[in-house]
Amino acid sequence: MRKSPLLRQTLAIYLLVIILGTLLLIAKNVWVHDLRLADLAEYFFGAMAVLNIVFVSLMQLISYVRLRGVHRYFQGRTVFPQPDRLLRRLFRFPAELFWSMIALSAVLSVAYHGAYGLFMKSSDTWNDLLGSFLSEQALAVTLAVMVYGLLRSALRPYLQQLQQSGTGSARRMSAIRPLMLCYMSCFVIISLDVLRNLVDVAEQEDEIDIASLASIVIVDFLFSLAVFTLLIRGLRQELRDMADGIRSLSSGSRAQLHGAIRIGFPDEMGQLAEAFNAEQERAARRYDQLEEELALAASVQQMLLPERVCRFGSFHVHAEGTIAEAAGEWYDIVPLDRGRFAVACGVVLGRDMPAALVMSAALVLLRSEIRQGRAAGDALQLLLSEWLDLLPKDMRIHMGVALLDPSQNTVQIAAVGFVGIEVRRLSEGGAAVRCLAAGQEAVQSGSLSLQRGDRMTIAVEAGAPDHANLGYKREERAHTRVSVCYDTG
Amino acid sequence: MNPYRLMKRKLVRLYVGMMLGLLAAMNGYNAYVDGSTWAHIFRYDFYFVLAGNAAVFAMLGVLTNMRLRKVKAFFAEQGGPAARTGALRALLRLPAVVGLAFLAGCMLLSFVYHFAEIVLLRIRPLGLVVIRHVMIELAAGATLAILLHGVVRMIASPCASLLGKKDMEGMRPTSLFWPWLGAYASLLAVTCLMLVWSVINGSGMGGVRLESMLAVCLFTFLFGLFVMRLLTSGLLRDIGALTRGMQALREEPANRRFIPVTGRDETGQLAEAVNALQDQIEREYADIRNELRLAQEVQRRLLPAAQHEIGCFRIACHARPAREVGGDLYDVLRLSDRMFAIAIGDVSGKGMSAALVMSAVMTLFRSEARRGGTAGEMMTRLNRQLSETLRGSMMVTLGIGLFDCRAGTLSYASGGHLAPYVIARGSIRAHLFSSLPLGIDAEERYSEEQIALNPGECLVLYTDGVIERMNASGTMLGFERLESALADVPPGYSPTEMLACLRTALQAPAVDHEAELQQSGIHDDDWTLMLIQRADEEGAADA
Repeated sequence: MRKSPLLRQTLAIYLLVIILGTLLLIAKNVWVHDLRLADLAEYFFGAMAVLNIVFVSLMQLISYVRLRGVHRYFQGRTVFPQPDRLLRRLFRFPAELFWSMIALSAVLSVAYHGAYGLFMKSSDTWNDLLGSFLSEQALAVTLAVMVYGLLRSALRPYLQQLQQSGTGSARRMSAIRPLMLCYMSCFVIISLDVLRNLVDVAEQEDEIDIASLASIVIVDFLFSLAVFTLLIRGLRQELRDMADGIRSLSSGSRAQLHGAIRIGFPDEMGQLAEAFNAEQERAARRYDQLEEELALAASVQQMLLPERVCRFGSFHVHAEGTIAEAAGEWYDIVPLDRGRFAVACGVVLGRDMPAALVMSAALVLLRSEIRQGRAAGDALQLLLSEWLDLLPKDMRIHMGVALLDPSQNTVQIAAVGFVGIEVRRLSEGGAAVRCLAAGQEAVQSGSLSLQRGDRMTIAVEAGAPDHANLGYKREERAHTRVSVCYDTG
Repeated sequence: MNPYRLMKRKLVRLYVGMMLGLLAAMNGYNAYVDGSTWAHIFRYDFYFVLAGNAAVFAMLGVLTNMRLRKVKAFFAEQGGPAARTGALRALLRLPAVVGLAFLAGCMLLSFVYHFAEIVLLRIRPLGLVVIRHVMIELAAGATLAILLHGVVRMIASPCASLLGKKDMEGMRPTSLFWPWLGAYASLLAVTCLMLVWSVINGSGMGGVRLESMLAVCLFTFLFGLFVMRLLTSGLLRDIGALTRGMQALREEPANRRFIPVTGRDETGQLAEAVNALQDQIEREYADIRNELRLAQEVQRRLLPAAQHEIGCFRIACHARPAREVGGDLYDVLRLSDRMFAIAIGDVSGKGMSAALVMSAVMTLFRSEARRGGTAGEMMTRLNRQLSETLRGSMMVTLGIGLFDCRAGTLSYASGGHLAPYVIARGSIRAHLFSSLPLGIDAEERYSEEQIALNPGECLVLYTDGVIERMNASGTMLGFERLESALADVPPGYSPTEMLACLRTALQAPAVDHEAELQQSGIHDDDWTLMLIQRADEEGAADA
């Protein structure tokens, strides 16, 4: 079972909000109403504790009821049959909690003042009560906006994990409205506090205490700023995440270029992400054919090449190197009559795809010529002359071929261009007994007899010219080589 | 109208409107919040406010004009890329410059006013009252500066969008966080200060009047709402513009597919990120397309010329792959003074994968044709080699013809290729063969047949792209259409003329590959047609 901290997150949000709200109320009681902490202990602390516990439990209960399915889904306990329903529930949740909180605050506020009237036999006037109630509601709205913003931030990763393809028919909402609402409710808090202070003063026919008025305004100001900062940070984060998502696509491989970014709530940002994904999809379709063609070409080319490892009597043949999709490198292992066989390896230097065209032709032509019994050097010469006029200026064929005759223990070798052939002899301490060095313009050829323990390598030399200059992109590609080992017996 | 002029007109309106609004607001504040009498206001304050405002906005006007010089020059004469960059930089910086300049102007005015009132005119001493005034002046100045920033940005963004730059030209990115927080904080500060000051002023004058307090509240509330609304609508417009920009991407050709950057904050950064991605996609595929074009070049070099005249035979060919490269092939190969061979073939599949096999088949054909033997023997040898190479995963249909110039005869072997036609005078004959395509059975033996080709008659070879070509209504042309087109060729035409005539009749695909794809959107098969005509007069053979 995976861990899903969803419900713990909601609880943390409610606790944070309730602590902030209580602190603000305490501060106001101390400054605005000139109460001492001892006075507060009489009723306020107890009542607030009870109300807070009730509030948090109810909010968490609502969250549990509404998010139960989502929570289970992310714990991996259920496979949710209708992801659409899941999505819609997540979409609606912050707004539901916003309104629940407002309603709950109104009820709790009435309960608080009602109980106060009952137990403390208070002498508060209706005016006082109304003022308190309004002020509390304004505070509740501000805190509800904060809850809304925090819930959105907390739920966004879950929504994105559901990998929605679009926000669909979900009711559009605005990411901006909370900002406006926050301003309005904060304004009401501040102005109500000032007005109530004035009314208090007028009723008690006191002098106005500017210091206490200023301090309450400062507390309100800082509180409002904190809530707004939270909201605007959430908004910024959302935009930044989106930009980061897009950047990560462009730094990835070609397949990733058409990836989608994750969609959160169905607001302006959601629409933006949706529009982006739609464009991505269109672009992907546009290039699908090309990708398909490349993949197919790569598979055809792989098909032209023989198995990498094989045995002819006491000879063990092994080809290595990465033959990448549609490019100019190849190796070949050709069984011939009377137990003879040929090995070859080469590269057509040039851009990958045109090189691949020449490569496939060179491969089959060499096979054909060798099978016809042509000598290694002649076969190379013929191939080069066949292609000499057909190749564009900057393309060249480089290759080496070896024809082995196990019955005679002889080998004919020929190489041209950046392909070298080397025979190392075990009995001579691994020294090279014969080699055709790479880098020759003309076809070199020769022959020698082989001994047990000899090892022959035909390889595209690493010293081949700067591939990048020839548009040969994959410098990191391992060079192709074919080795033939004569068993020691 | 020139977009620069439009922007400038809006800016002038903004400055004038704001100046008038400020005049009203400042004097109103003095009268209703600060509790000055109108007589007192008209003694010094009114004139100072008037002159100060005029000075600040004149300064803004001059500054804006200076900053927008490059933009003006760009829109006036459509300057080059450097001018474009300069203009964009000026436009992107303008909101911050105007906002800061306004704030500086406010601070300067406030300083001058209070300096004059304390030091020069000695109206009042430096005290709490002055500090209160300075505070509210600064808070209001900050709010207005941010408001100005937002509105100038909105006004400048159409021009910035017209400049059409893909990135911020290396300018430091900013964040929408600070303007928003600044706007909110200064708005609340103005609210708080106004409330507290009006209480202090009221209590100083023997009691706070509730009505005036409510009026102050209402006024600040509405003003705050207005500022917030403006900022939010600015942000929504930016996001909306991005969304529309993304939706508009599809209408643009690949190299102009981008969203213009109109700001330096997160929305601008988003546009930048999208543009970078589009560029990356474009680059990635431009490389592939470029390679495909080079591959096309290699394939073209591999194919022989389109027209030949060998002995008494005249040959005309036309081939066009459905994509850059394709699997159709044709070849004309002189074997000796007397003999030449032709081949036509079609590799199963399309595009690069078919082209890989096509080049191999071409090379093998040339090598086998030189080795000699009858057409059937060539085909048998070719099939064995191809079968081993292709291992059953692909197949090739091929027709090989061996022509004897002296005898004027043709022996033809088919490897599952479409039946050739002979256009004789007034009639057409199809030569049917039953044979397997190459690459299916390595041991298959192929044989050739003699096809009589009398003087003036013409052999027609083609690939399936010709008969499977769709017409505009989406139906295949088919054999009947090919046959009727062949029958309609006027007698006496040379192969080249016949080919031109047939290309029209058979709706041969346009030579411009891209144009074709965009027009029809149908991916046709590769299209190849080859005509070999025996010259009319016997004498030509000996020549």
